[in-house]
Amino acid sequence: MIFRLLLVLSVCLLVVSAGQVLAHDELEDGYFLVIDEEGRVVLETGIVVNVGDSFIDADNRKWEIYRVEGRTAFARSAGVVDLLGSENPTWFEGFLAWWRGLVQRVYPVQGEGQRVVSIYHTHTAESYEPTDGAAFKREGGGILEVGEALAEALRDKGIEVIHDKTNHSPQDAAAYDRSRRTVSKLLRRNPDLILDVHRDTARRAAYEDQVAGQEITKVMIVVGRQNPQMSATLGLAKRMKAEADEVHPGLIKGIFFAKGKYNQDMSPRVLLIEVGSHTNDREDAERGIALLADVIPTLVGVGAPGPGQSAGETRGSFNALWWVLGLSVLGVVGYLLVSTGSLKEAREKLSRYFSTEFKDVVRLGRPEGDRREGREQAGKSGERRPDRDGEG
Amino acid sequence: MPVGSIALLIAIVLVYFGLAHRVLDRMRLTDRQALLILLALIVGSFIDFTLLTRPIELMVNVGGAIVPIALAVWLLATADSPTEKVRGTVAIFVTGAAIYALAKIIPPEPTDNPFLDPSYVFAGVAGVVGYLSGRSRRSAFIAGMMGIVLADLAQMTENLIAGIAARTWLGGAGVFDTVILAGLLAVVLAEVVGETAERLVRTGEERSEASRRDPNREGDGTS
Repeated sequence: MIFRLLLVLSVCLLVVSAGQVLAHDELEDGYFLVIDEEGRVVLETGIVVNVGDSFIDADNRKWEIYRVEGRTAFARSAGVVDLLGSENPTWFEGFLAWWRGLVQRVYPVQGEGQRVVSIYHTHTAESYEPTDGAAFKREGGGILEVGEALAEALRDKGIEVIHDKTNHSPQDAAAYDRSRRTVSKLLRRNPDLILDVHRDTARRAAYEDQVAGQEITKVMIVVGRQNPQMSATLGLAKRMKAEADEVHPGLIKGIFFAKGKYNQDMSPRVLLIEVGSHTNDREDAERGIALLADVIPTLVGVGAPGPGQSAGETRGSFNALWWVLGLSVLGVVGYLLVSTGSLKEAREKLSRYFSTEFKDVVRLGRPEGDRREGREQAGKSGERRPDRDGEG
Repeated sequence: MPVGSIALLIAIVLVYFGLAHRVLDRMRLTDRQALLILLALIVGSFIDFTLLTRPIELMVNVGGAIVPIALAVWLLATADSPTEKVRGTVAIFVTGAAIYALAKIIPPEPTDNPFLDPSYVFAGVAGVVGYLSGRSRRSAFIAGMMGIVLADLAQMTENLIAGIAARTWLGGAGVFDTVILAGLLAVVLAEVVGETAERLVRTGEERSEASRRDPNREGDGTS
């Protein structure tokens, strides 16, 4: 047995050695083109596009990707999206609005609280080739300066900014796990918004534009769809775009709803933004992200007595809530069915669980002997605890 | 924070901690011990220590690394037999090597991965490898947690050799770190795999028992 395990270990070590060769610090060259049914380009991005992804473009048209061939993705239109979703609030949203109004009348908030925005970079090495000299710099790329441009613009508006420049290199599959720890640290300050600032890998023209009379690179918001609270994140992303469309039309290139979760499962206030591409000038990206700073005060509720939230965002949060609860119930039911094999036995197991385990918790204050006695009784009544013997 | 976000966070925290308590309860801990450890994981999530600043920065979170490491050592030390102890220890190293290798092999972008986000893949693989090499729920739990810690330490060594000034922060996301997630997922997988295997064995035994009693039933086409 031990010999077999050592053999597995050796194989793993061999794989590690191979991994050293395969590991790369840089993204592959090239980009994906998303085209519509008439062959028009809807999106150009270095982010890998998959079937099931969707994209809300600058004009708020939603595109759903249904086929991917090589580096070309095919999308069909899913209509125009109402970003704020405020036209037909549900009865529950109406109730929440009424409740908020009532609370504010009874306990009026004096003045406004200090808003906090946190900025970090999962891919700290990302750079802008024309101005930084390379597309990646392991010691810290131009993306850090783009983040700082946003931080300074927000500080000028009286917002407290925490710009975390922790290096999460190398840019491998564990980079988001490493930056998860940074997000955790940032969350301790209870920020109103957390931004993971990246840059894309596409052609220069894909992001280059002129907005508010300045040469800038546009910004794309990325929302991960492998995240239990994706609806809440998407709600926030839509609101950011809606605010930007009001203040600086054309600044936001769109919202890409992609595979992955990008640490957005840590809080519904985490967004990932792509500011330009590696082919753009860093100065353009700095000007672009500085314009985004004009949007953020409204987004985080500066000047408002409470935290600002649109009907669409509230709906997103509650949609996510039902998903979390639904998936949890599904998981428990699935486990019960797998472990018992029939609905009847599953029901019995569940009722045994409630009659013994909860009683245990309630009796926490009582001596250990009493609870042991309870467990022994449960054991006699047929409750199986196969794990207790250590062997699976 | 908006009311919708608060409700969502409360639900996620309740589900997560409920699962964590059930998993700890499976580790031969009493309810009181399981609750105390859960509390230590949560409170410890807010405490960090810096162990090294040069030549590379190494930080440790109490809830995300020190409590899980202490728990793993205690579970190993109190294992029933020397075989189980050795098996658990080997499982840790196998899982650590697998996770470190995986981070290098699978594509760096979550969008480029054929199945799930790498975080889920790491936790899942840690669980599967931990269970297969340890063959018990306890070993799976230990290997899942410690495998992630070992992989982080291996990455730190690589950074040190390559001269990258990146921070290593063991268990930095506290109770929500991949260290804990991997441990929990390992037990959930072990539970599902173990229970399914046991049920299959039980069904097989019952069927052979029945056919022994009534040989005419054998081969009647039931599956």
